Amino acid sequence: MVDNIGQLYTIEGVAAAILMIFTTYLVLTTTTIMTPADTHVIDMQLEQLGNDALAMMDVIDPGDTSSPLENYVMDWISGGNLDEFKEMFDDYVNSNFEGKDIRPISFNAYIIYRNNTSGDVIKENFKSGFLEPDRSRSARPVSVTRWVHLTKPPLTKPPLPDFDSRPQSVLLEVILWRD
Amino acid sequence: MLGLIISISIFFLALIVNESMLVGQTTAESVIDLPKCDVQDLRNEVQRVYERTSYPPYVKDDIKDDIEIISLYKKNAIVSLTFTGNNITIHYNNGVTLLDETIDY
Repeated sequence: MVDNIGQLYTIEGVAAAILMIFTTYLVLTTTTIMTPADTHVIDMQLEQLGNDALAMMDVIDPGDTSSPLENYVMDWISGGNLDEFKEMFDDYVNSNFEGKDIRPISFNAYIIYRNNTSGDVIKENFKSGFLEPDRSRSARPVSVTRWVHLTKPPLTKPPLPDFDSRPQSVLLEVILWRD
Repeated sequence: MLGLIISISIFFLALIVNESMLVGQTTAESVIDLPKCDVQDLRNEVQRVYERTSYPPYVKDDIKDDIEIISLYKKNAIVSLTFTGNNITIHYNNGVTLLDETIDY
């Protein structure tokens, strides 16, 4: 006895099996799309935090003529130790984590300025804030920048290579990472 | 027959999940690539310089050069600024994002 009912069941079974296997393949490729290189969303948060901190420091308080950031840069030009800058920046970027078991954020700041006569662009160290220097090796740093406008030119020639005595815009670059 | 119908529906659901992940990643990447903070900071700085009426034109030209050249060297962005009597134009291009803006006063 040869019957064709069994044949139909077989075709249905095979078709369903292929569909299910292909579905499994689709689902697997979906979940493996996130490769380690895509974890930079966390870096983006750090970048935003740094940018916001610098923007807050660049606000001119009512009654003042210059922002705290400008004052710190002027202080740096005249050879100040910049502990206040470190304290303020540290306070802004690390205040959310106080008392929690989260790695604190460390930073390294630089100033980039241009000499008007030679046209050279010069990068100098500004200030660093390492909390635990021995732990800063496995870090993934991000860079944030802020334009700082110096309205009052330094009167005396500062002890810096080729720093002009004129109102100018300098770039403050901060490298941030979690220790 | 029921098995086949269920298989097909699961297949389409899987297809939707697959596509949504892909779309989500593309969107997230374009958000990450957008130099939002850089552009806002640049605009803020340019306005601050423009609004200083006490500066003679040559001082403003030097500051314009500061911003344009430092942007090119350290931010990998071509910035071109024009100050006229009552407006500022900002041109910004970092290879991914192109921005042209006019601020009227």
